[in-house]
Amino acid sequence: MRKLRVGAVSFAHGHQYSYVTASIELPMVELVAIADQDADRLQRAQQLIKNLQGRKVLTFNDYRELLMLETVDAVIICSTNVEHCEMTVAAAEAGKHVLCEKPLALSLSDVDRMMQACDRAGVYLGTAYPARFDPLSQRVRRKIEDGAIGEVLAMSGTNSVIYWGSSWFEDPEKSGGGCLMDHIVHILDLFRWFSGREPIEVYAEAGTLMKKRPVEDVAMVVVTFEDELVGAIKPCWDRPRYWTRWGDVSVRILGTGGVVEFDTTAQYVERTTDSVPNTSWLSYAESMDKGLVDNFATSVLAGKPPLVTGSDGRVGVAVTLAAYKSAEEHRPIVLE
Amino acid sequence: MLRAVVAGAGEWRQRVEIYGNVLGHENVYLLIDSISKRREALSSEVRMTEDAFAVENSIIDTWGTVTENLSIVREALRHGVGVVCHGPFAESMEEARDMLQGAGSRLLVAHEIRYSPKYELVKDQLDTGELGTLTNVRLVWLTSAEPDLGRTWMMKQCFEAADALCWLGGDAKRVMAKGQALKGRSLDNLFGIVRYDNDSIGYVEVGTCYPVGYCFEQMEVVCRRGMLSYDSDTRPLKFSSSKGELTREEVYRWTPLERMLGEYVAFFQEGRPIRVKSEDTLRALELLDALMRSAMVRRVVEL
Repeated sequence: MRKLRVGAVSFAHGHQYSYVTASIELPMVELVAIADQDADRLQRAQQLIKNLQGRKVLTFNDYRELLMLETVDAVIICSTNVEHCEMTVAAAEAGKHVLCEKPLALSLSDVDRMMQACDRAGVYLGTAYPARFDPLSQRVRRKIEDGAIGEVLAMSGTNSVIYWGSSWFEDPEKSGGGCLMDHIVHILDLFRWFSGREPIEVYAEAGTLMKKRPVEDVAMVVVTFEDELVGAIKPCWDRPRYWTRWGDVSVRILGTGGVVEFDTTAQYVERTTDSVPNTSWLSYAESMDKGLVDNFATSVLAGKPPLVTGSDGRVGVAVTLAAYKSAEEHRPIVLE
Repeated sequence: MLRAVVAGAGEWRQRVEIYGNVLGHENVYLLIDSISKRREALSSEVRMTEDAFAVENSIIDTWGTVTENLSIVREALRHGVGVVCHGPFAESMEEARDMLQGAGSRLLVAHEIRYSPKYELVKDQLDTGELGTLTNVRLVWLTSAEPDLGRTWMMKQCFEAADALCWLGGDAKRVMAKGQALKGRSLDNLFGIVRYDNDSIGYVEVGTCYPVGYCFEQMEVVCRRGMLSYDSDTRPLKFSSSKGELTREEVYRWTPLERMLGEYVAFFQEGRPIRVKSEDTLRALELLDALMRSAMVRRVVEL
């Protein structure tokens, strides 16, 4: 079997551990090397890899050395948000396909640089929006395509989580912002994917309300799409420390012929103990991250773009930046 | 003996029944002008009147469109009769303010959520302060409405939601709302974001355009040290019919509507205190008015 040889660049975003796990589990992927400037993260990742596949992989402190390996076809980038652009451009120039963690970048000009670099190099750029690969999302998409709820009229979703992030998530220089930057994009992308409509206007309220930090942690966003479709998104770091699960990804879609709703975190067995937290939900859902890596690898090997492209990532960045502007100016922002 | 005249189509059967239980069925009249289409369906035990003000020693209970409510309230106040109004009743905030101030205690506006045990519980929890500072409130009320009750039901739902947002969150400083008319020409789906004076954020989603039989209610109140949440999917009485319909209910000995009307009757009969003040009504109406205006002009409305 032909395999996609992958390098994992940076574990600053914790999703990389999940992508690495998926890369080891998937038969069409071979994890070749990992890179991280942080020695502790690199060691932790190497230990995980050894536990999963019984052997270590090449490690680098400088991701540019990993990019020089001819045995690497593609990289998965999970650095701080501000580094996405530089790393993606470097990877593309080294001839590597790229799957980049969201948000793609902190400005549209950076996103354009990333897309142009990938186009010039003839490599694919994928955006890590794993929610599309949750089996629930995929079932809902099929239902909508089959006309089960008729034409989509309105949408509402929440992506509220316990704040688990590393310290850089709260550093606007590295993250670009708080919960708006972190969590608008998943629900937004599902709305676009389900409805086939593009966003045209954004209104947001946001504030630093849960704890003292330099970025916002509570927000509400209403997005108007083409054809007067409305979608509301709650992207928050507001779940209590001992919530039943890490967060939610819930969506409700109203159509002319019905309504469909789901929460990707709600396939669970409840666990109750004598200790604190006394109740938690143990998920038995299949990994959406594995679905994401599977699609990326399968698509690249087949010589076609992944399901979620750089263009999809660009829309997410555009809406997120508009949400910041709206929250600052207290008015709806029309997307250019 | 106090009598009650029930006007308007909203929950009219329940209101007739509740007033009948409290005042005696012989003391309840149905105003047939506004609900004449339903008169055949009524049992012969219910008295009817074509003139709400011909019944002596009565209060009038109206739950209709804004225009119907306004007409009844205005006439009731002119006749010096006590009136209970479910939902908004004025064309403008100035008019609502004038009527509430002029009427004094003769005009009671229904704030049903304040008689709902789960909202009372949440409010009590918030008031203890144990959960810390409020950061956000999210209310979602989605249902289907009968075609002829759509607008009435929508306005009533939006009023109650506005009241809940005020009651739980405090005073608002600005709102932005998006409205949709999905099943007809009048508003039947509303998304609203509220920014409170205390900087916390509120969100309300009210829809009466959902498929027949659909009903969903969600409440989340998040504070710095914890959160309170309710979801109608957890309602304890679950019923599946042979037609494949599924309903979930919460069950009360006295429904919020019964508790509220019982308190209002006790006020009119015995002068007992009412938990809701006219300032509460005005605040809810102001927020409702701002949400509606924002949805209409598609801009932020400052309060």
